[in-house]
Amino acid sequence: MDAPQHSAEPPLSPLDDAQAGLLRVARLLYSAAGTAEQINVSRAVDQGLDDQLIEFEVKTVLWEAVALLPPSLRLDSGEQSDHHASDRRDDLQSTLRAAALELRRGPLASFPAGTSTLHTDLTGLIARLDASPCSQTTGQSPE
Amino acid sequence: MSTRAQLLARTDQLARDLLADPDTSVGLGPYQDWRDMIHQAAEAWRAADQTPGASLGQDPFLGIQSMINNAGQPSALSSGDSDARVTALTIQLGRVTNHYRFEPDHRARSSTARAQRVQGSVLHAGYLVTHAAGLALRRELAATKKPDLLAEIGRARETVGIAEQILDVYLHHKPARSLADQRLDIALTRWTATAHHVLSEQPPEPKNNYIVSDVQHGLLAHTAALLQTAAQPGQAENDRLAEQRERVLPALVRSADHWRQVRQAWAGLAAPTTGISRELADAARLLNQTLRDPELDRSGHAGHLIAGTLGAAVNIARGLADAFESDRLRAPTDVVVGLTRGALERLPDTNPYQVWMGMTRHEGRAPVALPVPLRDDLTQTALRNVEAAQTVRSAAHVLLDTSSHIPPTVDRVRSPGVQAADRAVATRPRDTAGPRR
Repeated sequence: MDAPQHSAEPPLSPLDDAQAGLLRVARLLYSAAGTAEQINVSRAVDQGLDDQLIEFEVKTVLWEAVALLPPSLRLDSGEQSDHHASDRRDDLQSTLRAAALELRRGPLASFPAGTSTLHTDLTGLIARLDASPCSQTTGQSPE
Repeated sequence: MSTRAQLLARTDQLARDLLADPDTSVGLGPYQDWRDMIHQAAEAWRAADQTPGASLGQDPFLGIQSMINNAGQPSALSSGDSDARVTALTIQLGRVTNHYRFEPDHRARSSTARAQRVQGSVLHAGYLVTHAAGLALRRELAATKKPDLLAEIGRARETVGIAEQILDVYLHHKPARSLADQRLDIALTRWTATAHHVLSEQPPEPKNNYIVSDVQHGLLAHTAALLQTAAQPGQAENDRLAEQRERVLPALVRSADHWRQVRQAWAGLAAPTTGISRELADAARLLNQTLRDPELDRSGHAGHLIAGTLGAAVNIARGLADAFESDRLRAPTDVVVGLTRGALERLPDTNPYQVWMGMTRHEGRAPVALPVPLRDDLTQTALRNVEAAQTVRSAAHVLLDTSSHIPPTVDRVRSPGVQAADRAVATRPRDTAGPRR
């Protein structure tokens, strides 16, 4: 996602296992949102509308996850520069699947309230992406 | 004691007289009490819509009230006489409210029919008074010679114009055909109200404002998608839609580009951290969910609803511009320094020494105010977005012509007074929107 190079700040208090897991999910979704945005960055709204709508969905799920976490936690892990975000559909799908997998680690009851809804929305998004006619083995959206 | 029918007939009469026989001697009179009238109309609507199972769908006044509260009352326009008829109408709407709240229904009459009757009367009254307020502002704009008033009148006209458009949509659109359409109604209103609430908070929070601009961009994409779905070539009745689509789509594309620029500007000030408005995330989620509903009537009603939100988008764009202008806006020092360097490169005539000396610090993470050149640079980006949003709203106004893609039959109870008001509205001069700045 388009964001400046902000320097890191320490977390305010230690996270429990569920919060740490949810933070990993949020960071994966943040990365996915960056990919979705890169796919659309050079395209007009009426071109590749399917991808424009997917970007909106991915970000909505991201905000859903972020809203469940305490404030002041970094979303960019620093392992991948935002200036080199992928613009490939298959990268987007694999990142979303990784986030969904992360949500299945540990009992759902240990996560904050609202996580089950997040899980439902995320798996629904993945299913729609997989079923999309643009979802090819190369992951490239047609022009 | 007046009956309900008498109360509503009197309401219709007052509203019709106000529009048909304007009293130009009171200047901005119709506008002075317009806010109070809207709030009272909202109360009347809610009083009639209080019966479970007889819901009229979402509240058309919620978004208008949020917009009014966010805009505040322009100080320069607060002086002057009121229009006694607007005052009388507001009092009349209060009587309607009290009647529906406290008087038992002695007649065996369905809740839905009662609610629809009030719907017709309150919406018409609100619409006609809003239009009268807009006309008063237009007259004042033409008459005033004071430059400081021009901007305030322009903004007031913007707010009133958007309110009129929202009420116009509700007056002339047919009832939602499916639960999916109703849910979209609710989600769009909730989003608009939430966005206005967030924008009214001080100091401005860049992370939340980023989300607001991003969702607005997403709504434009959905509008374009609905337009493409609705206007399928090959059918005679859709040829007009196809023509309208060709007029609206270029404006949509340009507006989307400007929303992206505003989004990027807020992203530049916002650290990628947690700590966003839960309310905003929930409203965005609900909106996304309803837009994906497979039962949504994409060929007609949904597009109509979306087009109605383009008016609200103008005020949201303006709220974002105001947020950039706020002297309470803060961002980390190192971010502000980087962005200021970029702004100064675009302003070669600005003395950079004075700018840097004016900052309280130049490194580190502590929040700091934005220097004027940076704030102006960001505000100009936001103002260009406002103009683009106004343009697409004007272009999309053709989508609000119900004859184009919504069946003309509307199943509503219409009193003779309401029918006469409709005739007055039908002959009113249309106020074509255009850039105000």
